[in-house]
Amino acid sequence: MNCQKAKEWISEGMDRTLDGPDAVSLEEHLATCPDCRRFREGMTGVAAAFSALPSVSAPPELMRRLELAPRSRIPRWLPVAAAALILVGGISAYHRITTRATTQLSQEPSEVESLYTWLTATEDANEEFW
Amino acid sequence: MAAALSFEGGWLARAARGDRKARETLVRTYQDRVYRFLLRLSGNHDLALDLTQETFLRAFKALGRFEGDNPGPWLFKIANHLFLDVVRSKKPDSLEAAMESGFEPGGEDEGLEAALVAGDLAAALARLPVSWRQAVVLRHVEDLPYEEIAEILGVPLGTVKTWLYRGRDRLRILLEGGA
Repeated sequence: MNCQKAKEWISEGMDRTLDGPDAVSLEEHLATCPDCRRFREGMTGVAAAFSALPSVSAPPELMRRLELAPRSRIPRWLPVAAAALILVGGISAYHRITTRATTQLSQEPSEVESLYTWLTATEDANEEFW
Repeated sequence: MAAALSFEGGWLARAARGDRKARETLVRTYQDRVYRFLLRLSGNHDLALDLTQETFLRAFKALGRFEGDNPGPWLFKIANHLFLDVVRSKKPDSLEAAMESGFEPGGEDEGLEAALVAGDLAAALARLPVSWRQAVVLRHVEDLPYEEIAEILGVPLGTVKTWLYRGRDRLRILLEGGA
């Protein structure tokens, strides 16, 4: 067995158990080849580095991004009821404001009326003067 | 060993029709594996999250055409294509730099030694040709057999073995401090 073939089998041996003549041939080669023994140690180190990797989980944000996060417990009718309440309150407030303004206008003389009264009084005074 | 999960009882068909619960089950079953695969390929949390999201969105659209009861390799194939799209859209040098600088060690309780090993490995992975990296990550991170790796990458078994051998050999040299 040459070194190239031995190295390929060392790599394959990381994924499956070599058996029979393949395994015997490889062990015989390794017994006489320090270079391939170093190669096998290095490959074992690669596998160990992967084994030492910390476990990783997908961030919880993923479910939200996919719109699969748990739904809110707020009842579906609540936003509609809230909107209706705001609408009724708004109409009521508008009605009260306009009613109050109309009442004030009917009770207090307007600026135009005040001006007309003043002009009339001024004209009367002028006539009396002349 | 990652078990091949089977979706019996029409889960996939329900997910394909837009059933929220079925889709949630699909995502919860595979999200960690897809995210981890993309994280180890890219070395970047943000990119891995974006691509994981896109993987499931595309899967939802294409579920109606999926045949079989094990969507795992199919999801990895989608994720892999999306990653390749990113690789092709960027200059190799800038992607490599982003991957080397983008690695962030995991949780706070992680040991310093493990973090250093993870950092070294991530940097070494970033320096592998993409095809070798894909094969090595699917084998060593996802623990997939040759047959599934060949299916995901769309290459013959012999090519998977070659890429694994070359990828591991390059990692060995890089982790031992070689160029």
